[in-house]
Amino acid sequence: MNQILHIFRKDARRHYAEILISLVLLALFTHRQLQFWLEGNESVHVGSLMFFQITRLITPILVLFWAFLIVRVVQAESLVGDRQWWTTKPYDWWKLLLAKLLFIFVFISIPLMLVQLFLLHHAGYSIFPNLRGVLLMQFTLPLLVILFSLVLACLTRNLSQAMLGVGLVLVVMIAVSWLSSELTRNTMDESSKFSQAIQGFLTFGSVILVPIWQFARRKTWASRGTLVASFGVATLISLIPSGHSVEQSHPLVAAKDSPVQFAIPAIPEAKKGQAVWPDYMSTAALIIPANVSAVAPGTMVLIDGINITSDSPEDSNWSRGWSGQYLQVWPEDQRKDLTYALKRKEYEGIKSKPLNLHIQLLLSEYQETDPRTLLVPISVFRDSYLGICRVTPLAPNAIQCLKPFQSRSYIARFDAPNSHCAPPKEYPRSNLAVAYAWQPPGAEFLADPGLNPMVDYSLTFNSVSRVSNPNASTQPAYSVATLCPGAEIRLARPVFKRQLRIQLDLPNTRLQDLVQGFPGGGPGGAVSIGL
Amino acid sequence: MIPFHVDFKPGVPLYEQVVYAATKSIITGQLRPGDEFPSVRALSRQLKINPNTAHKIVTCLVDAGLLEIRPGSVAVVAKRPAATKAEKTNLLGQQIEELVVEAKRLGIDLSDMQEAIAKHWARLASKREGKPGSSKGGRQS
Amino acid sequence: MTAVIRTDALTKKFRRLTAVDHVNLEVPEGALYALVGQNGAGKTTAIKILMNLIPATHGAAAVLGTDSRKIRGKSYTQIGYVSENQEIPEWMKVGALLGYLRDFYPTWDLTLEQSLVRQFDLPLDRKIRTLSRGMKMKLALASALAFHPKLIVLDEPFGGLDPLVRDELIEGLLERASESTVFISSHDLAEIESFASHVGYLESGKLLFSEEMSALATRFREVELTREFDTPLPAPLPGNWLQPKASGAVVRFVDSRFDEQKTASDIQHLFGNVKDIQFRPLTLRAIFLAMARKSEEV
Repeated sequence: MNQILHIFRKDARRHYAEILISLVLLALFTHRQLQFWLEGNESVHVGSLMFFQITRLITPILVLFWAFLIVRVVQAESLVGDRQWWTTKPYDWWKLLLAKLLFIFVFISIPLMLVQLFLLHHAGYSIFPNLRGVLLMQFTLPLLVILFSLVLACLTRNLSQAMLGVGLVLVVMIAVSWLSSELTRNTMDESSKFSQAIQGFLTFGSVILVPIWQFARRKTWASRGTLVASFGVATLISLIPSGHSVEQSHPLVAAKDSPVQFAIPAIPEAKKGQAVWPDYMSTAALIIPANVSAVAPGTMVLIDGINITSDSPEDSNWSRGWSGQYLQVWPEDQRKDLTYALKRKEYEGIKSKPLNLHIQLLLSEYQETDPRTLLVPISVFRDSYLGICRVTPLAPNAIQCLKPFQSRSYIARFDAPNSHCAPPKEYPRSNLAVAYAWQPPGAEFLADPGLNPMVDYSLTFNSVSRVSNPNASTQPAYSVATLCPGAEIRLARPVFKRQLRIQLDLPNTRLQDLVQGFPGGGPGGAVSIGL
Repeated sequence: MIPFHVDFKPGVPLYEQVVYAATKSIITGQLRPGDEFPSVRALSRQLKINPNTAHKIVTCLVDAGLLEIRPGSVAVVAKRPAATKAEKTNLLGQQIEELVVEAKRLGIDLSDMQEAIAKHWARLASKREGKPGSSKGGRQS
Repeated sequence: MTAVIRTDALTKKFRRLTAVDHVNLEVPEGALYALVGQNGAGKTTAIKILMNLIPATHGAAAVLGTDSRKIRGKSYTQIGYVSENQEIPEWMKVGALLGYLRDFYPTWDLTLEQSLVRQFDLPLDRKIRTLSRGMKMKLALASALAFHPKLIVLDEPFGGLDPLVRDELIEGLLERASESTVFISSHDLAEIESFASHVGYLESGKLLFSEEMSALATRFREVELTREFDTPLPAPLPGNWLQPKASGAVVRFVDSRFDEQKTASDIQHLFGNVKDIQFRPLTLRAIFLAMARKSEEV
């Protein structure tokens, strides 16, 4: 025990300058977080806005400096090589490791936690009920930074080798992501829970066990090899397509049982002499306009994925299988444009051949629960569900909110045409449409995985789509959504109801009729085809 | 290889010691008349001494009549009459002086010293009789 | 009596180079063992294996009764290690370093530390990075002696140091050597000859001999013969006669297995009656040179 404190004290004395710098950076970070719009609705001038943007860098700088500090401290007793002075002194390896962890805890974790508690307190959230949340926050970004730095520090000899290691990691990550995008056809492949568990075990396990083993035995090349191998195997597993198909998780449902009805208007033939695409465009994007209807009030449908095939399997070689589609269909929506991308080469090969296309869509249905009316006040307000919120004239289509630790899932509806809020100058009131904002359950944490305990998220309202002529395949129109004090919002919690799959048929269509010319231009015209 | 042995002692000029060793070697007959004597370069290289010193040594030995320079600047051991008693005892001059000094310090008088010398002489002579033509030198002195 | 260091066919290979080749040596308790050899002979590698800084390829070594592969942490409370290869923390002050180390060793002797500081004239308030090489070595030695180690291991401690500093180091070492065993590697033979009790000679990773100094002194002799005539040297000559040379009637060689009777009878056999024979003992340096030249010839 004594040895641990002894080493800790030596490290603290040695690195006091770096510790001070890290605390100064932390203070700057805190200052910036405090300058958040919590201070009220003062007018914002360009200068302070610019300063705000520049000091945005403080968080990555702080994180990088912590990584640097950790590497410096751990490498004070470098674990790599056979010339270090300390290796023939009576250090117990686990005491050395604990001393370094103690240093990290005392000079990084504790100041951070104190700052986070302070920020919560400043926002009016008392300390004790939120203590647990702050402690759990240490296991997100802070833990990642600490583990990464620790692994880097104990597998490299000195700072320059460490930087080399970082460079290497970046290169490998880029290479792997390029490789995986080239190899995978099906962008909607879900790994099974089992393979995800194995990947997690391999990566997380190795990141924890390798440093411990390195401290104990100092067999550097074996440690490096183990780490690389674990990550390599995990990457391979992620690249292998799982047998888990989306078709199994999304049961096929007959058209009449679908929560939303689709009707595809007539697709006109592509005009001759349409602009030719330049050679560098390696993907061709198909756009299929679809009229939507019959979404029940109080629900919404999410189009998660799309797959387009044609009649015979050989003719479907051009299809890329399932790809993601992130379209929200609200009760008042009238038209949604489905998009599907395929490789340019394959498109060119088949574009003029008439095909019987089968379009399959993956749908998720959500329902509102606990609806209530929220009246937007003039200034900053507290909502027990949403947190601390406001509407600012700089972003009048959104309610900006701050909440400890996690954002909230929501379905919010703003009836713009029937509200007293005035649209922007010279914007005709008749163009206003209902607007919705939403965040699905389960996505709550994604708002800001950073150091600030107050998570910043926005309920951004987007209007529904409208078409003047359902039979034409013109693009839908959207309006603005302008909130003002006193606006009525229907706020509810979304609950997942079910997920399913439906099929639409589009016979005798050529792919070239489904693309937009470049630039501009679009399909438009006469023949009527229905579901 | 240098055909005679030099015991380097601190405090005595280098060339004197080499001259002494060479002289002794010639007088004992280890180096026979006509034997080639190492060149200045060889002396310098193998004894690890300054070439100027080596030159001085050869000159000294030539002046003393122990070496001759043959045509081609080769030094050989000169043919000379057998060493006289005086010459031989002179070679041991240093050692004898050391012995006398030590004896005086220990309080040994001349007759006791002579007795001791005679005893050791006899002992070595008897050993020599057992192995004709060989002698065992202890440390070179 | 158990050996403080014992190796058993200790071998270390680096790809194609065999740095340490089946070395069997034993260092008895209380010995002052000098491991000598040319640069690159494998001395530092052997020591690193003993100190568990690098692993051996084959073979085993035991230090203070423990397998060298198991030496870590507490084992070092009994071993003082000094090496010119080690990187002492430059940022610390001298006094701070000694103070820092104090807590690691239960047997640290404050009085001894202070007397070593006085003896070596170590400036407690200076940062180590400002010290000369000699000072750093003195500090390293002081920090390796102050806790009364059972074994002191020094790897080429005299490299590049002036005679005064060397002298100080040796004095400091010898004063405490009586209570420890010392293992020192060096190619500075003149220094260690005066105090080493045992010598091991490492040549290209192989241990050519390892014995007590007295035995070594006894078995090496320079032999000088004066023959009657200058005939060519007979062949073959005994293997233990190193670098035999002739000049005129004089023949000289180094006998590495000198025995009063045997050597004389060998001479008698090969040369017959000779006019004169002289046997002279050799310094460690001369022995070393003879051994080194022998392997060059091979």
